[in-house]
Formats: sequence, C-alpha cells, structure tokens
Amino acid sequence: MADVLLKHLRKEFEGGVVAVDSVNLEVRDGEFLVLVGPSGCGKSTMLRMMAGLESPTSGDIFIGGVRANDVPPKDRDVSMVFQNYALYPHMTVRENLAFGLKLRKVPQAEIDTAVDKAAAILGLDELFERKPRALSGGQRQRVALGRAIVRNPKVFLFDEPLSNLDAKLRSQMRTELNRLHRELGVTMIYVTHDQVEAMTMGDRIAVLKSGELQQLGSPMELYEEPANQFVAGFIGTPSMNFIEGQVEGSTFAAGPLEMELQRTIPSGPAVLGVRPEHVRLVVASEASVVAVVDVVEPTGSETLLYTVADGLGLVVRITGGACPAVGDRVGLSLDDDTILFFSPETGATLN
Amino acid sequence: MSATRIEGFLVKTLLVVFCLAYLAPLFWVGVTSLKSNEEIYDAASFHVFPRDATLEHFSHVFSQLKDFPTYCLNTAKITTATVFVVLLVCTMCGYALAKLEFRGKNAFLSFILVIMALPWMVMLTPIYQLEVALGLLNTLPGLILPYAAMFLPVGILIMRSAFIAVPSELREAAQMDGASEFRIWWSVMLPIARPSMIVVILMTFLSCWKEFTYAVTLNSLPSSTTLAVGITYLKDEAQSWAFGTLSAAIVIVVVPLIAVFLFLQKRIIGGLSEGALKG
Repeated sequence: MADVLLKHLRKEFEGGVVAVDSVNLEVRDGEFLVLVGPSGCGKSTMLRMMAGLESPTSGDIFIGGVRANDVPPKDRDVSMVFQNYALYPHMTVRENLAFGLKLRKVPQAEIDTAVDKAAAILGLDELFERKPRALSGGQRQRVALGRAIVRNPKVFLFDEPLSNLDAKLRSQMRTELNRLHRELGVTMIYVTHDQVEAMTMGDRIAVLKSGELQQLGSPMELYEEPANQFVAGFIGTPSMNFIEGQVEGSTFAAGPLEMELQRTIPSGPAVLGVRPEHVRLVVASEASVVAVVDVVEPTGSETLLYTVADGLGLVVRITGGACPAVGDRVGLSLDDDTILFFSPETGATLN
Repeated sequence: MSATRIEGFLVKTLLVVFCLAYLAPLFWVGVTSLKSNEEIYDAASFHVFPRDATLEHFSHVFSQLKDFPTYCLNTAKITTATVFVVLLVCTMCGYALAKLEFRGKNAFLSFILVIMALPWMVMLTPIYQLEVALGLLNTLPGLILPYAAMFLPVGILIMRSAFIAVPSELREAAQMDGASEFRIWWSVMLPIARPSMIVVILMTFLSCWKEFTYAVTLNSLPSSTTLAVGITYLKDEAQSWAFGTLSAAIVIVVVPLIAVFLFLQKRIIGGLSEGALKG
C-alpha cells in the first residue's frame, strides 16, 4: 500500500499539445480516487505517467514517498487494468494471470497460491484453461482484473476498465470493484469519463478539464459545492440548469425570471445554477417564473420535466404527486439556499 | 444464370486452367522420371503413364553424380541457416520498427524500400568482389550471407506489419507485468505473429532452395555446390540432356519443397490475436 503524490505534473506532446498542465494531486494511502473529465482532458495521460508508460515533461511523481519519475514501470509496484483488457491471446487464463509472477521469478508454489486466490476472488476458477478468445467481455475484464490482483501491487491503476461492457454488466462490475477495494484496502486510481461511475465508486473525485485539475473532493462535495461552472455541469444527471442573467443589488433577473436574493452577489452579469431536483412546482402566484411543459420523461421513481419559458429552458425533477402533462403551464420556484452563482467570464463559483 | 453465377463460373474456370498450366510440367517431370529410356524416347507409341514403372533413373542420379548427396546436404544447410538468420533478424528488426521509437526510423524504412527496388543481379558483381576479398568464395557462408541479405527487406516489412497489427496495450501490459523488451518480443509478440513468421519462413525457404544465379557464380567447388546447380552437371558427354535422369533429379529437388510447403501452409492461420482486446 502506498500514497501517490503528483507535484506540478506536466505533459506536453510533440507538436506542443499540453495534455496535463501543472497538476498537483495527493492520492491517500488506501483511497479509491477517480479521475474524471471529458475525453481529451488528460486523465489517461496522467494515469499512464503514474504507470510509467509515459514520462512527464516536468514535475514529479512520488509513489509511497519515493520519487518514481525514473523508475521503470515494472519496478514501480503498480498494476494497471486497460480499457480493452490487453490479455495475452496465446495464453490460457491461468498463464495470463501467472505471467507477471513468473517474470519476477516467484517460486511455482507461490504463483499457484496467488493465482488460485485471485481466481477465487473473481470467480475465474472454471475458466483456467480457456484462451481469451473463448471468454465473454465480462469474463475478459475479470481476467484483466485478476492479472492486476495476483501481483499484490501497492497501487492499482484503472483506465476506463468498464467502458466496453454493456450497462448491466457495468453496474455489476462497479459493485464488484467496490467490494474488491474494500477487501484489498489498497490504493486505487480509476480513470473514467462517466460521472455516474465516478460518483458511485470514488472516495474522492478529481475533475479534470483541458489538462487542468478543476476540483478535488468527495462526491457530495463536488455535487453540492462545485468549484466552478464546469464541475457543476459535469457532475449530476441531468445536468445542472444554467441561466445567464444580471444581478442588480439583491435581484437576479433573466428574461421572464426574476428573484430576490438573500445574499450579496456583486452586481453585473452572472450565471445562476440550479439542480433539477431543487426547482419546485408551485402555484403561479408564488412562482419565480411560469413555464410550459415541453417534454415529460418518466423514469419510474421520478419524472423529468423539460420546461420552457420565453426561451428559458429549465429541467425539473419531481418525485411522486401529480405529474403535469405536455403543454401544461406550471409555476416554478427557485430557493435562494439551493442555487449557485457563477462568473460568466471565469466560470468560478461566486459567493 | 444470374450475373454473379456466370462470374463465379468464369473465375473458377480460369483458376482451373491456371492450376493445370502450373501443375502440368510438374506432373510431366514426375511421370517421366518413372519411365524407362525406351518409353521416353519412343515417339511412335506415346502414352502418358509409364507402362513399366522403374526407379533406374533415381539410382542413375546417384551413380552419375558422385557428389549428389553433398549437394543435397549443402542445400539443406544453406537453406536452414538462411531461414534462421532471416527469421531472427526480421522479427527483431520488424518489432523495433513497429513498436519502438528511435532516431532515423523513417530513414531506415526508406533505405529498406530502396534496397528492395534494386534487382538482385545488380548486386552480384560487387558481392563477388567482396567475397573474393573476404575469402568467402566457395564456402557455405558465402551463399548464406547474400541470401539472408536478399530476403531481409521483404521479411522485415512483413514482420513490421505483423507487429503493427498487435495492439500496443499488449506491450504495455507486459511492461507492467515486468517483462523486459526482449521478453516482450519473445513471449508476447512472437507467438502472436506466428502466421507472418511462417510466411517469411516459406518465402525464404522456397526461394533459397532453388536459387541458381548466385549459387553458380559464387561457387565452383563440389564441396559447396547446391542442388540447383548440381543437376546441371547431369548433361551427358554429348552435352544433351538425359531426360529420365534429369526428371528424377528434379523430383528429388522438388519433393522437400512441396513437403515443407504443405507442412507449413496449414499453420498459417489467422485470428491468433483474437480475444486480446474487446470482442
């Protein structure tokens, strides 16, 4: 087990593309940290630098307190699970699992024990003699996990390991990975572009955009107190509603919407952010704005209403109670304590 | 018949015609080697299959050419050594060109293409002079080295494409598993690239076994003569061909070629890397 520390980590590819830009990040010992961001944000590059598959342009990587920049991948004591599994196609499942240990000249008896143990954890015992081509996607992914586990590394790195699985298998593997993390108690760093995966799996989440770290915090911190508009919009499904408007004194106005604020926001342009579940349906007389229901999306336990008021679109999440129909006029109310304001220029959260 | 069926019929007919055209000489050599001289030269009562099959020409090959076993052995040694050298260098070089980054990689690739564009015969004179200077004339390495050099460019390109097709993640996974570059090449890449290796082996083996020009130019001693050159010594005193003996010699030369081809071609099976990545 080990902590991982990134100091001013930067990666610039040939042609001047900056994939990772001066990132400082501390991954605690035994923590499950998720790196999340849209494609091209540098999250995979960061992971590959921790693995030793890419070398940083500048900055330092410490694994377990030791500077790892010049340590080759095999000596970092980390293991990695690849997005497309990367199993050795000519080896059986057992050989795939044992390969890493064999290379390290571990005695055969110990290899057998380690392989059997990993196989038991992942339910691979029955597949030992099969080649990867005879396995389903989920089974291949398990073997890839097994190959990472047998080496008993200090740090696990995952590069979007579930993105090739179907939805059902994905949620199953998510639970399995969580259980694995609990059982092994080892540091895990997990890259994904799927914010649901990030929210459900991470002890903490690091949100990245264009190679820069936007925010690092627990899932609920990111959800409730996003550092900027990007994080606010990235975390949560459906996305937070954003309304561009003007603050004058203690009033926020944007088209048909007007509301009194209890807090002080600097006057001038501002972006109001409100989560769909924080928009309340009220009678027209108490409403901040009256809108027309455009689309109704029932999901079972809750219903999403896509409403429009004078070009202003707002998504509303309602649970239980009477559900308005398409074309209905509804009164919507926003509460001062559940809305956020962002700067239109920098995107930073305004307090 | 529909257009596609007519097309299919035409294609099959053409294939059969070509196939027969290629096989006919081989067949003719085969039946001739089993006929007696009387049958071969009796134009009046011509027939395809031998009436009275005989192996006398085969024994004649060995009695007329005392060094025939040496020729066989030389050819086998030269071919095996060439295949070994070509395979070793091609797989290593192809791997480096496909998966590693180094300075001058593209220049080296262009160099290989230029070498490939040069006809073999252009290099014969310089190689001859080089071998005179190095004392390699009339030795087995004197043929192995130019042969290897000749087949390397194509072989390298074949192996390079084969290794390019192997996903880089496999190399990275092996790196994480603790494999050295040599180990990745040996334990991960080579087994996956086996079908292409067999192509290189076949190509080299077949071309080497029957090569004539270099073999006749760089050798003049029986101790280093190859089969392709050796069978030309079967001309009789009047410098005309004894067709029966010649046919028997050709059969002896060709049989190993066909055997190796049939043995290896079954092993060129694709889809070996299937299952490495997502389905």
